[in-house]
Amino acid sequence: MQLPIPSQFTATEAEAPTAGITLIELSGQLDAHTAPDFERFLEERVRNEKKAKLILDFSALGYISSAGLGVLMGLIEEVRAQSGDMKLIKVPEKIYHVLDLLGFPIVFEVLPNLDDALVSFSKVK
Amino acid sequence: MARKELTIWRVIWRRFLAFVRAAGTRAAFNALFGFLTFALVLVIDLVANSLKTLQGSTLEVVRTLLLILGLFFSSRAITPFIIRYRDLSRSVGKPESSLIPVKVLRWFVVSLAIGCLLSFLPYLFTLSLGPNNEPKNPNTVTSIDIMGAIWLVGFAVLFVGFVRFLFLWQRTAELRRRIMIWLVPIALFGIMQYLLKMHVFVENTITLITLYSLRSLVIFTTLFLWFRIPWMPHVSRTEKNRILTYSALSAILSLTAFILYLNMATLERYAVILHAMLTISLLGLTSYFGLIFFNALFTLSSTELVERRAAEVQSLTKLTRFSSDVLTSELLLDIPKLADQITSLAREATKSDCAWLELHMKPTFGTEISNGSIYHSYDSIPAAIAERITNEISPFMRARDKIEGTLAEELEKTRRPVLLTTGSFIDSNWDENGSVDGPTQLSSLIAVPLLHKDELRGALYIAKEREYGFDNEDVMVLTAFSDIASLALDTARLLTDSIEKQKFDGELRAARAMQKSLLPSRVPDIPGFEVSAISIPAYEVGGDYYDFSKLWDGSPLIVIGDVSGKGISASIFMAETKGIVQALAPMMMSIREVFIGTNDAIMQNLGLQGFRRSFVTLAALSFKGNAIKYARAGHTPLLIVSPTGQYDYVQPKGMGIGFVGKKIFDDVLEEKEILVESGETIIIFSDGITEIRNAQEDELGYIRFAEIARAALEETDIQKMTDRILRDVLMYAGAASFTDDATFVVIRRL
Repeated sequence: MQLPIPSQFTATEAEAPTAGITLIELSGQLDAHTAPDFERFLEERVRNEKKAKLILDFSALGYISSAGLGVLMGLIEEVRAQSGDMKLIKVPEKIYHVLDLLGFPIVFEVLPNLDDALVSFSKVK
Repeated sequence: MARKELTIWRVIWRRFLAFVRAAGTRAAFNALFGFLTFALVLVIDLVANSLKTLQGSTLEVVRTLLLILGLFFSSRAITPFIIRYRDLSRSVGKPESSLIPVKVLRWFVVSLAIGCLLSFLPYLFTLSLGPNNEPKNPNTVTSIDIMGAIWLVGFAVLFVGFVRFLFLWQRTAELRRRIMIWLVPIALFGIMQYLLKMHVFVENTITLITLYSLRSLVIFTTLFLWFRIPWMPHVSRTEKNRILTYSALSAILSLTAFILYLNMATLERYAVILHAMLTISLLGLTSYFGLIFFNALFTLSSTELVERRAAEVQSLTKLTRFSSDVLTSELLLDIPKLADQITSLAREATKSDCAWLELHMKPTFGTEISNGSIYHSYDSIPAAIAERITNEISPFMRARDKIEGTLAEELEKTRRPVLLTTGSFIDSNWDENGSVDGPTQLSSLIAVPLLHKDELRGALYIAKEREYGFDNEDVMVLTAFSDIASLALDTARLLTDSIEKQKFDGELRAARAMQKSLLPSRVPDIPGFEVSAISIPAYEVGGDYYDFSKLWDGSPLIVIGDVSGKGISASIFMAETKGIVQALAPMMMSIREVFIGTNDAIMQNLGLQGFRRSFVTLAALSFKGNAIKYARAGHTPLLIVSPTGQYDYVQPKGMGIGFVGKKIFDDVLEEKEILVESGETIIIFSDGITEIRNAQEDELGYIRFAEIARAALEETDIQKMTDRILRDVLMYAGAASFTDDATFVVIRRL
């Protein structure tokens, strides 16, 4: 299932690597225009299943604006309240810098790759 | 004098007449008069009983007339309490007409049952009667008269109930005439019996035949006059079942009552004519209820048709109301919501088990719905099943995988509604893993295209589990509905477009004005330092700001901030932040305290004001003598450039404001003292600067920005230096426009 998004942003739900974990690949520009779509997309996933375990793959993401970051920050509490979690993987250096400025790594687990994220999810269990 | 007295008497007389007239309309007075009449009859009977001479037909005539009067009064007295309209009507959600017969028939069942029981009254009294049923003592006379009065009132109740029942549906002169006609054979029968009793006629074969003919005539007039039962077609199936039960019971009970009263000596003794009329009208009632019973029985089969029609009318009404509602409502501004509404309405109106909708969205300006996307709306069906039916299986092969075209392709090709009533789209086998919850079988389906000027804009589907769940009329209803739905969707689309454009222009202007008004008009004097600031709003206004303030001890404070998001909401958020910082700074000893306070305040307000996804980054510098303190809350780092051209970014820890609660925020936030030599330049800026892009989509970045700043050191005047930095940044961007505000403040130590 793909969320079609104008211009240059797509969020794709990829093959689930482990049951109960959702991998979402982001690509393109997550800015003020595309953030609302992304928010809807994520909300759907969070609302559809309790204990949503989401891994967001940032590898193909070219840009993330404050609005996009707001979406992530806004949802993390909700996800955690339902004892789910959201983890970020393969964050490009430029984007990591933005995340770092805002203090994201303190709230989110930012991991180098999918395996790490899966291991990290399994540890929590 | 005499004349005056006369007038007084006339006035009193008129008053009395008016009083009687008014009293006549009141139940209590009617009851009183009725009671008095019955009492009078009792007195006459007692007198007649004691004076054996006072007998004969004259007395009987007087008694009968009095009893008819008593019947009249008691009927009027009970009328307000029999089958009251307010007891009948207004059961929420059900049409009035269809419930009333059930309630009235139930009332008749109860009343007739009580009537039957009343026939056993004579067993409660010890009656001593002569050979011709004449009472032997005053006690017996009293008993008979009391029973007779009770029976007559009971009869009045039934009669009034019957007339009311008839009048519930038609209140016409025609009906009044019919009731009169109905009463004729009853009255004739009563008079006949009376004359027989008085021995005017001799009881022979002819009179007997006449009596039986009159009885049959009552039955026939009943059947003839009320053969057509006006409310029967409006009754639903379940109500008809109840009507069958109640009318059968009523018929049986009135027949029972007829038999019980037929040879009732006491009643006959009390009033021959009334006894005759009472019994014969019970026979009439029997035939009337029998008529209702058979009418209901024979129209049972047509009930479903009636119900279908009613349902169709109802759904059409619903749809019409929908179209008028929606064209004035704010649903038009929310296309997804409108689509959901349409879907659920289609399901409800057609009484389907599920419905779904596909909507090809045209690109609309500034909305969340974007180019070429398809909006789906599902009601009572999981997406997986709906998707499969629409896009995976052939409509004519069902349940199997696609062989020819899918339903969607069929619609695309023909642009005509598709009606399928047999076979099954899904059955319990298709989903072998059982991973999808939902209906296990769907056999009937209607698909209609949503067209806009011959262009396929989407499709609406309804489905039922059972076979033959839909027919051509359902297709027509749904097609009519889909036309309305298409119209509503088109209107919504147009409206959204134009409103968005307007809103955007208006919002932009307002946001610009607000932003401008929030920036300080002049830079503060900070001893030993030069300051210059600039902010360029992007085309779509962001939420950058800078401000100057003072801490508790009077040390000057420079704050720069960047609010997430764009547009008017960002501007409001920015104003709010600025207000909080302004209010807090003079009460706080350090930037850290200011930021912590700001985070507390904003975290508290976020939930309230709907800025849940919003946050703000701040950075601030405070000056005390030569010491500069710096803290940042998620903001871009600070750039220091030395006169020799060396530069450094300083990035103490600190999270954005509005992300996390006090505990984490306070823990993370650092405040750093930075040492600034004479001639060194500090620049605080928003990410709009470093993220600015050139035509090749390359960001300016920290290094290039530092180089621009270093080059600008050539300028000795701080204002010129600022201008030059801005110029170089703009030159880098070239033709590409700002997508974010660009703000920076330059501070140089003298």
